[in-house]
Amino acid sequence: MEIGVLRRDGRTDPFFDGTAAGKLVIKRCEACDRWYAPDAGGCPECGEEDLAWADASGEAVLVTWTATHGRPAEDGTVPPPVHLALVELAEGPWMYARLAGVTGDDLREGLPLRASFEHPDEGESYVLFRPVG
Amino acid sequence: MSAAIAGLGMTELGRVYGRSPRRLAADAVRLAAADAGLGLEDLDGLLVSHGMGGSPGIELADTLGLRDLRLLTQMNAFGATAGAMVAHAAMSVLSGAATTVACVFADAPLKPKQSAGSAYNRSAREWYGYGGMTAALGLRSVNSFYALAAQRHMSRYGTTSEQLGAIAVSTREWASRNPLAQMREPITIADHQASRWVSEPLHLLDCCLVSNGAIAVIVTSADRARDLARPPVHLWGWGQGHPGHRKERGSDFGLTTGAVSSGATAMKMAGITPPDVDVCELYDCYTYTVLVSLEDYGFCAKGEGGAFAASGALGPGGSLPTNTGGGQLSAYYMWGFTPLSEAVIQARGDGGERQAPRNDVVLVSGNGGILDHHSTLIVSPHPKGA
Repeated sequence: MEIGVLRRDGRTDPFFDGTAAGKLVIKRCEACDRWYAPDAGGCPECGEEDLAWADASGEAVLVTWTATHGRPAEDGTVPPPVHLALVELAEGPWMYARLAGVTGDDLREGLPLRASFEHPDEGESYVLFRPVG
Repeated sequence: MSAAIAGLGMTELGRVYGRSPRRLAADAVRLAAADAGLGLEDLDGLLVSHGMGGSPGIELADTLGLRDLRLLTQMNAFGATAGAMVAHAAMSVLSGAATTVACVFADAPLKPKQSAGSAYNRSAREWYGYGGMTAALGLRSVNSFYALAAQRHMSRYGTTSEQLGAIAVSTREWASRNPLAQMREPITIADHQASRWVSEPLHLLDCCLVSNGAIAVIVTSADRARDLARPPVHLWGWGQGHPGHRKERGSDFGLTTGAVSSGATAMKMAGITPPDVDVCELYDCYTYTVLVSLEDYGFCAKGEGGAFAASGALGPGGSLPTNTGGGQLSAYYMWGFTPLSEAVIQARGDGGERQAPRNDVVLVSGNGGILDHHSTLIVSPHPKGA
């Protein structure tokens, strides 16, 4: 599956400042001491609309996963599957993620993962998650 | 006073081209009114469902030339909309706000020469922001999100692909008896296992069809329905459930759905418990949706949905005939109007070759988002409490 080119949208730019620097930057409600995924719109606990951006550890565990398959091409060839997942960050929030360095048979609930960063020639850097060790 | 469904209208469904969703919706409302023995001038309420492929809004009233309506709105609870609409129509009738309400869904996401999958897929050369990154990395299709839910259930409870396959097989067996179904060729578990992966653990035969078309029902008072053209389908109960699972540590995402509270609310209103249900018409965007709904309604224990499906309970001759028209998996994909339409057909005893042996209590579900939203209706050929 082609990833394409990533561009900033003006609302989540600190996340891409983070990926460029090799850091996972997510949202945080300072008042509640709670962490949220980068696309969180506000804190459902206290109603704070302007969540802070803060550095997460990049440590995570696997919650659930899927190997998604493209449609076969006209010549019958099938592109390799892409492993997608919900991962639970050490800070608590879940993130939708793409896994790297996995075969599929090695996946299990609770598998320790770590954020890794890709820096394409064109467009913004992005994050993948890889098994630890 | 109680409310009932008095009319059902269905256009041609499937790869139906050349008519806009607005036109399809208008045709379905006309068919439903005619089915009830009513004229359009008898309608004083119209509820229009949200859809994907340019579904109409409240301008549908103008298309139909409806005048002096007392109830008109568009509703959206995603796949839970049909149940929410019928409940809203029933409450409007019971309160006196309206007497005769049409509820309609129309959609035409399929285009000629386009694959069914691409009607609901996204692709782009450039993606914007964090949400764009998630899509760029591969989370673009509803299939993948339901796959994540199904895999979680498998990891937690040992549910297998063959158990999901049992749902595909029993649903197709029902479809083989339904002349309205798009897919009528019987299939086996081996066929299910051999069908291509879409998003593991979901094979192609775990996924619903995509269809163009429209379906409408007419809701009125049970007293009025008795004097109309078709036998009333009485509304015994309704409910909704929106669990609001957050994506964070401790979440039950994928494991439990709004059917827990929606089912309990509807069954309490109807004065029934799960063993009273004769027929289930469950929203089956995926086989897994059926499995988890059966658990959450209490037809089996949590984690035992796979074994329950594999027992043969759901197919013809089984203890809980489920998706007797072939559902969205094999018959037609009209969101919540797929299970609703088949419930009306079964409650009327119009199922022909596929008529369930008992139809005193029919449960209808709706499911929207990624198991985020749920609605339930309990319907019967008999007045409640009779």
